[in-house]
Amino acid sequence: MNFRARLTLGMVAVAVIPLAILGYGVRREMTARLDADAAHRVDAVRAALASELATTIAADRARLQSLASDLSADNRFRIALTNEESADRRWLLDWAGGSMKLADFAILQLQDSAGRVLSSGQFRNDFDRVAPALPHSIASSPAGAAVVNARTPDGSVRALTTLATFAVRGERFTIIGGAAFDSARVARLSSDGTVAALLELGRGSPPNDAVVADSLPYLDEAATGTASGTAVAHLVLIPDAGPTRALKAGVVRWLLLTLGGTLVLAVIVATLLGRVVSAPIDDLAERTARLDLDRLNQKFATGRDDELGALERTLNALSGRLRTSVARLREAERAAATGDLARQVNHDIKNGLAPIRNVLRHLAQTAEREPATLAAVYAERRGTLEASVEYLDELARTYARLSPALGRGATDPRPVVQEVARGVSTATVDLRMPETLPRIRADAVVLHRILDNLVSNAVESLDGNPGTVIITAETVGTGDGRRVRFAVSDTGRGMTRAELDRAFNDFYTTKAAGTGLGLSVVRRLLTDVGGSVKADTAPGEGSTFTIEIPAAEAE
Amino acid sequence: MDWRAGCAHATTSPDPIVVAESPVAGVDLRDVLDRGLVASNGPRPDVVVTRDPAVVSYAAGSRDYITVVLPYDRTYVLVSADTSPLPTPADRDALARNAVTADARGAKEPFAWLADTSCTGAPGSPAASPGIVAYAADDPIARQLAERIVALAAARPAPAWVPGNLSSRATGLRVAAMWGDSITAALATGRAAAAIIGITRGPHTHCGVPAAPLAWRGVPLVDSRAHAIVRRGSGAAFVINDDGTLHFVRRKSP
Repeated sequence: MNFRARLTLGMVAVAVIPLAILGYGVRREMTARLDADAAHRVDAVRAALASELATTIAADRARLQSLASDLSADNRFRIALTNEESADRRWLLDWAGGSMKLADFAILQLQDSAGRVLSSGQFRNDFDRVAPALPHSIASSPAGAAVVNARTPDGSVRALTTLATFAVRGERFTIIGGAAFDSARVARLSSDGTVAALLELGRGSPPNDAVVADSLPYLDEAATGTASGTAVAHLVLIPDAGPTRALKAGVVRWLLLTLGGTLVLAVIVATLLGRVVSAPIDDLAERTARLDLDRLNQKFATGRDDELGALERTLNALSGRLRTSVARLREAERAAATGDLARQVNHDIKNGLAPIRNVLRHLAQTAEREPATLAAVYAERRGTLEASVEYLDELARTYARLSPALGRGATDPRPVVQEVARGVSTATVDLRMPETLPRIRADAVVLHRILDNLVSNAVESLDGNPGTVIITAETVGTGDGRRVRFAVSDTGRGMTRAELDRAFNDFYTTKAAGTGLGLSVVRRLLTDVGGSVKADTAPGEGSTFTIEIPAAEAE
Repeated sequence: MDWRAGCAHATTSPDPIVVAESPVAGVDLRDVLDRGLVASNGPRPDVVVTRDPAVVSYAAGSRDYITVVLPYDRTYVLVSADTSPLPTPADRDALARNAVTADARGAKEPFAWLADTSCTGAPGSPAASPGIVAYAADDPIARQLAERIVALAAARPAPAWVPGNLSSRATGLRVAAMWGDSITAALATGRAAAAIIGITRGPHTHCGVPAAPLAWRGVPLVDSRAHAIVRRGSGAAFVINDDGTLHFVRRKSP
């Protein structure tokens, strides 16, 4: 993830997350307060409704008591009771209708002690029906009232009823009456426009979202034909959730709008900011990527005075220090290389001079002891002298070329091996080489230097004691992997593991007069020609150095 | 003059001014007795014929009018497709006494429509009805009887004479006011299960109850009669025929 993406995500997180938390908190707090307000309003409406109901029932009961008082005092009532064929009987049948209108009731009914209807206001000709359930339900209700759906000739009427009783001639009579209790009347009971009052009728429980303000017995004469079987009429309050829901939706809508706007703004700002910040960083990175030891002339300072400017100045100073350090390092390398070269030249010349010195010493001894054979010995050792001179001459030409790569022309290894073997005079050389060997991909001088170094080390490891140096050459591998393996073994002192680990390092030697360059030269030359070297040694058991050089041509 | 022929009319002298039944819907005949016909801006009526007990009672207490009881001229029957037994005379008397506020009695024979067998036929199957007992919208006696039938049909047990198709569906039964021929159509199409119909008493009724489907049964309930209220000094003179009609004679010149 790049810096710009991180910056964008960071901006989004910083801007959106706190806003989302704020919105969630506001909505939660608002919801809690609205719910509390709604509950408070419902409680207030419930209290007002209960009070209104109680007042209504009490007023209706008072009117019924007044009617009962008048009726009990009216002689026509007594006559109607005693003589059903009298004109007062018809008056009694009409009494409830007239009184109901005067009392502004929807229902008015006069019953005797057996529940027989003597006069009915809402249904004049419903007399003589026996319906004791209604007064019984009212009397047994704690509120002293019941909701009844009473029959009328052309339908039904629902009313909130209560009753009053009186006695005439020792018989008890009941007047039941009340005003209409339809949906409109119930709705008016709620003084709060946000809380709806409803009348739930039936035997079940009210809806879950409703708050029951009051419950009354409910009888449905229209459904049953008679007032039997009691159900419950629940006066329920249902808070109008519409405004609250709309408010919540509005808050959520504005919150989402704000979040969306903030998100877009954060992305834009982050993009612009990222572009402003990352562009110089990208430029700095590009310039830094171009920086290496050969190109330290990069300029970083752009004159900015901010953090990036400080970074640029730091990089500029760093590149300056690097330029200085590289110059010093290269100077040191040049000095070291010159020293190495001098030591290597010294070593190679000494190796080339050693056979000459030996031949000269041999000739001197011969001239002193056996002068007559001097010519013969000279003739015998002349080849050695010429080979050494040729070696030195080639060596001189090689160093004259200095760095140019050594020649990789195909070389027949046999003459080189034989020449190196002939150069050994202080030890017995056991040369084991087949009649033919494939040509190798290495210059003859290179092979000579390699073998000469290995053989010289082998001879020196004998420490002047009698011993044998075994030189072997053989062909290994086939095809493109064909190569010639040379091995130089001695019976000398051998090396420890620690000595072997350091044997190929420059200037490491265990000899008092050694330069420590022999094996390191061997390793470098083999690396140049694509060959390899391996050493097997143990203290007191001698050493075997095995080298392999690729053949010039496949078999 | 047959007072049933017109609702109301004012005539020029020397014919009497006669008001029969309610002259205009919603007009209280007691106001007409006191102030005359407002519409004609004329004098008070000479004769008012009515079945309204309130009007009769009011006129009886007035010094300006005398009331004359006319013969029972109308029988109210309950028409339905059911064949229930007839109510007993006591049942019919109870209906007249308690259910009807007008001057009425239990229906008395002869019941010409029951005796006439000249056009018998099988009653049609009662169509599925909405449980309505129909009555003429301008007839308070028919309305009161219909209400009583509805109340009795809900009683347990219902009187035997209440048609079974009414008592079997007592809870949904109700009354409905209808005008003119709509009662006949309602009965024929099944929109009403039964109806209260007032028919003129007399031997001329045949082929079942007028306005009822052929061969539907008409159960006699009550007879009703009207009252003639005559203004004192009006000079109106009439003869009451056997069928309850009035025959006016020439009035004296004032």
